[in-house]
Amino acid sequence: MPFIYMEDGGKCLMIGDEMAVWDKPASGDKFAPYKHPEQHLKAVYFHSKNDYYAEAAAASVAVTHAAYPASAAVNYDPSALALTPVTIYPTTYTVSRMLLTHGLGYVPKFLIADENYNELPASAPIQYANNEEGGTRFVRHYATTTQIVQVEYVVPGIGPMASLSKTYRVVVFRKPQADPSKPVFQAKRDGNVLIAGRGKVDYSEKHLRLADAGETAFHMPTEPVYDINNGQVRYVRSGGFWIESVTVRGATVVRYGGSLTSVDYLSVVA
Amino acid sequence: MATPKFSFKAGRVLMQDGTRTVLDTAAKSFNAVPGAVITIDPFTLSFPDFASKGYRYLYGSQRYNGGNTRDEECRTLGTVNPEERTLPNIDLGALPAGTDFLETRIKLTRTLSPPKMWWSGYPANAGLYDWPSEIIAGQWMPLLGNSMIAERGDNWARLFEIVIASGRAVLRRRQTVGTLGFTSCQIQHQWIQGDPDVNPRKLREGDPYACSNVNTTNYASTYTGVLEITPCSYRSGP
Repeated sequence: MPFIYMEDGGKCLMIGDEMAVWDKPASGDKFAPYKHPEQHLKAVYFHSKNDYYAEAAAASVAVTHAAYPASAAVNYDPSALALTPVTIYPTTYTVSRMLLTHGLGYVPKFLIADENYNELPASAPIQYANNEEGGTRFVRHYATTTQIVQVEYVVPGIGPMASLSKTYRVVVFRKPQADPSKPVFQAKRDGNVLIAGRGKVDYSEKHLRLADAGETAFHMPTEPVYDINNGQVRYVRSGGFWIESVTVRGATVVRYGGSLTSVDYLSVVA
Repeated sequence: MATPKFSFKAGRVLMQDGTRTVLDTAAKSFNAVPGAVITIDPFTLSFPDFASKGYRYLYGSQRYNGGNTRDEECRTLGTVNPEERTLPNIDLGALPAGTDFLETRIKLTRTLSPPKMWWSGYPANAGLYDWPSEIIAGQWMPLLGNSMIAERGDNWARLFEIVIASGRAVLRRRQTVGTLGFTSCQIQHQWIQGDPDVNPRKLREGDPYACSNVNTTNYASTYTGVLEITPCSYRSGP
């Protein structure tokens, strides 16, 4: 099997049965990352045995979330005597909307972010009607074999909830798959083909990677973004910005008492 | 069409599509390790019953007809008392050395649920709405940030996280009930109207016909489905 091997500035490039780019080990077998990339992940930049998140579809979707009235009070299980009344506010609203049609035919992986490129965790709170009126608007997302769907869930609370305009940025990734009919590496000077890893990286596609300086980047959390304490939930976004729930019982306000104030985020582009 | 470029010089491999970066050793791609993907099917995510349950006793009475007739009413509401509970970690499997990011998705359906909110023991009523869940049943949801609020309500929440710990993927779970607790159901509601036998009273707490105060609600919750964890590396160097 013919192969190409190049080494420069501490980086190694080899194109043989596989293609790999890696940091040259300080000692030992310098080809070890090529042979066993799963044992040398930190050294490997690209290996045709690894998978890469290639963008299959992307969209910025403007959504106007509706306004909702204050939750209606319900007199729970009333009696004719009305000596022990109990008032509750059970109203909620659920709205589903399609954000993107991908047509891949399988359930793809995807990322979802707001207009400021903050990636949204599962069931992200995006609006509080008033921090002490209990109203919250959440968005949840899932993928099907044809669509990326948003489910909006609203607990209006005891005050009205204003409408809200948001833009959601969706990136859908294709299933990484090597095509045996394609070469492990191909670059043509005619500008038509640049393929690595039998098509796992194709120059015509975008791949999830760390952002270069100055690029408009998604903020991707690398550690848990939620914390719970004292019955409350705090969600921390990039830049140390957080939002949290509160509970009001008469004159008593129950607040989050934990310590989560920041979360590590990566700047990534696709 | 933009012209693709490939270069390898000064220790940097760079592939570009015009000016757009495709692969650059100065800005590492997410390397996912397909051979190390952890798929757990069936995967079970469970939260136990809350540790301490209680009740709130409501009582009212009124006399009329010259004080010779009494109405009485009692009502007991099932409550949950404050707790901060960290549940035992669950090991999900080994990760390749150098894994520094988990790309995780779930497809879960609740298979054991607490009863509906505001269910009533007596008079019997199944409840007003389902016990809350933030998991969309039977659909693939990405676990961005590797944490999710599985369930939450007014003054309580249940959280799970999937994190890297000592080279392994680990499921962490916690549940919290805040100060003052919360109310979820009615244990019993009854009244006596126009009672000419005004002494003794009958429905106050401790009276012979008092409302039951035993909150039998089981708040345990379980989800079953598929968990898929793809180990990734984005950070180069030691």
